[in-house]
Amino acid sequence: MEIRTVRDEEFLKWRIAVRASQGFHTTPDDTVFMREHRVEIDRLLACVDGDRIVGCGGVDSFDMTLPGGAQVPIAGVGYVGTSPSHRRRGIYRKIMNRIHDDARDRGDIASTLWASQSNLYGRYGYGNSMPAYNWHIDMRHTAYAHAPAWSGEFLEPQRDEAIPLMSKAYDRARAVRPGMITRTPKRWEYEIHPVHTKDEFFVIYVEGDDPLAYARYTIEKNPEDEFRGTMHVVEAVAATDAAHAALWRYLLDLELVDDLKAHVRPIDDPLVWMLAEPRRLRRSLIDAVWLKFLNVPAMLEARSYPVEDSLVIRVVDAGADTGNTWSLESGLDGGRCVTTAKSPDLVMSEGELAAIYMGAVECSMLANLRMVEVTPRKPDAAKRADAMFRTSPAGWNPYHY
Amino acid sequence: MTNSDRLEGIEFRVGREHERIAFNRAMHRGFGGHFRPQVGELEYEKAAWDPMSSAVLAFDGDEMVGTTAGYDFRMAVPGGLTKLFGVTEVTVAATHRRRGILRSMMRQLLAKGRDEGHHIAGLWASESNIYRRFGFGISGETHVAKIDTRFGRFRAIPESRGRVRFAGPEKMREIAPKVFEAATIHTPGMIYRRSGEWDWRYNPGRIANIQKQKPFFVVCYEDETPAGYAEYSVEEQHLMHLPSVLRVHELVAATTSAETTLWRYILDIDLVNEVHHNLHPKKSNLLWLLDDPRKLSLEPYDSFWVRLLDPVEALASRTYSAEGDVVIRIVDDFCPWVDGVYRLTAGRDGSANCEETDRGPDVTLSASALGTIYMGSFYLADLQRAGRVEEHRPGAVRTIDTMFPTSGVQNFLPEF
Repeated sequence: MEIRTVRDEEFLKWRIAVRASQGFHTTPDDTVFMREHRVEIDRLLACVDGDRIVGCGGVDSFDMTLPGGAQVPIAGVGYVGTSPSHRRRGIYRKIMNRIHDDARDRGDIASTLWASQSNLYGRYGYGNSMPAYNWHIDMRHTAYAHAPAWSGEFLEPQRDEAIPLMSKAYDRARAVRPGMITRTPKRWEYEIHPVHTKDEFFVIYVEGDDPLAYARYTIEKNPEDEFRGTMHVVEAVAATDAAHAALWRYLLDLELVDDLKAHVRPIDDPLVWMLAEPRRLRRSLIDAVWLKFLNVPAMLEARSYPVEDSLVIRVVDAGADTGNTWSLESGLDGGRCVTTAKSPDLVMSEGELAAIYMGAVECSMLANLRMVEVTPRKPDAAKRADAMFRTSPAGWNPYHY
Repeated sequence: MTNSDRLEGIEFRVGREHERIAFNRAMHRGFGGHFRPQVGELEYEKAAWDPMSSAVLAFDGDEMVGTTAGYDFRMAVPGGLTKLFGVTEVTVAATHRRRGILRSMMRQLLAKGRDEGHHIAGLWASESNIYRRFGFGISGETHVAKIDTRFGRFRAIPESRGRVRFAGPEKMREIAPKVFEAATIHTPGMIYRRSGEWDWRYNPGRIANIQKQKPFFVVCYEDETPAGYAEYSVEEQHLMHLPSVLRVHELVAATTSAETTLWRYILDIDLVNEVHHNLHPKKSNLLWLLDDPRKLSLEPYDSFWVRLLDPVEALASRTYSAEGDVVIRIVDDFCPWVDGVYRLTAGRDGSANCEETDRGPDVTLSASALGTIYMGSFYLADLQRAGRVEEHRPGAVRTIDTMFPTSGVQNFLPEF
């Protein structure tokens, strides 16, 4: 068996293997469209046994926004699967390791993924870094008690006109929301798929010529009454608070639906603070995005911090060749991070650091659970890390690539 | 018709001893239930709560048409303990809606709380659209937690030194209050139970008479010291051991390791397929213990609502996470004595001073918004994004968000 990059002529075969491992079928048409609009073939891996592709994995290249607005190259990991006939031979581990090595060589400083199961990736140094909520609300109980004022208007374009407007609003939101990742023009064509997303409606909120928010949604009709149903908000992104308030007012005022479900909403979305009956917004926690550091000091330097402080952090399973203990000075404009021979204030694994990095969990909570070790010399080190890594707005990636 | 016209003929006053049964009937009916006291319940209620002197009631002639009460609690706030005016038993008869009875009762009750020397009022709301207009804000959230126990495996964590043993009500009466007290120092928002409440909670006669959801009690000992306890019940299945649901009524631990031990115990109980915990902390340790966290369903809901009755005392009676100096204009239509401009100064050690000031404010916010950030669980920035904060000095919201939030704490909130 051999793990190697995918060749052009075997792309369809590879795609069939990926989809089958996740319980989907695929068609040649889909695959051609995908080849043209989505994948970077030199970042796709196949594990080949004779003629068969028995394992697969791959990466999409993205830039991710960090707290403070820096955009850093990351590997969006996906396409991972192994044939049932080849389980328990370490193929999956080899593919993951190869993905991370290649990405590091190309200069990616982190990788992210949406896990098919939440118990798979801790062992590769991933931490649940950007959890989110799924929403469900009864449309009868959506009045606002508070909202920032808005003055713009709504457009309801068809797909081809919608894409460039959505792309502009997305990029403006992405500039200020940590966790959001780039979506290229080709990728927009792919994600708003001409066949698979043909049931989607689009609404754009504009102020003058500026598109500042958009939503994509579908209506699931009640089979017994076509004037009732459930609205599914596939994606809703807003670049300003006013645009957010306006967009959600539009969505929550839609008629002929009983309830609204929205997928992957930010953990700190202000809607709950706007509603007259906040309890009606049923929120259900999902793990959403997992993060792994490929270059610890680069990631620690690239984000900004809400407080100035310094800590020495040892990451037990990272950076073996360059040392694994870093002195981090946090600043309002970024961090300074250098390897050090000092003894650490905090000792943790990569996955823990990734979970703490954008405030998804407090370092002190993991310290209480003895998942992070705190030196007795500085018993307040975990609380200081809580303050350093506090992230507002919270990390959020609505793009389930 | 003016408000006072509609209230004509309605009398508001504290309760009288002979009105206790009427009070209980009216209050239970307000929440859609019937008053069926257990043996000893009225005596317990009088001893522990004295509801009649704590109540503000509304009468239409002889008929009690509105109930409220405010009780004196001790509560943990960041860095210490303070008094809480616990507002509860708020009902208006279905026959007397929309006349302003609730508003009048609440106004009188909050004034009564202030006059009795309370700085903070708090409540658990029956619905989330009622209390904002009276200046309360959501100050704590709680999770409804559910997990399929087949997927309850933990990540590799250090070996536990805890030992779990069953306990009877008498043993619990002795142990639980101590564990509860020890847990409060880590837990802003935790409200102490009175000794009468503990007596009733573990009254062997009361427990013997429970028909549905009768609890089991377990204690977790660490080095012979009780460090945590749990109360739970199991839905009995008489047919072929079909899937059963275990409900955790209360799980309180003074140490994280005892909490871990108790969860391990609960998730390993045989003949149980699903565990429900409706008072699960917003900061869930269980979530981070699980090897497969997605199997834990967590839905947050607003639980503890707070409003300040005396901002000077309330803001100075907690500690802060960072030093800072901010001038806050509080807009408060409902309790006009709160409305004003306050300067809060916190030092490096976290202690704070608060006073009224004639300086220009850095931020303007409502009493409800201040109630939301008071316990340190929410960011003012999130309220600002909802259009609920005016920031007059850039950076002031950020300063408040480094001062107010608390970390490194548990946040189990017992319903009261």
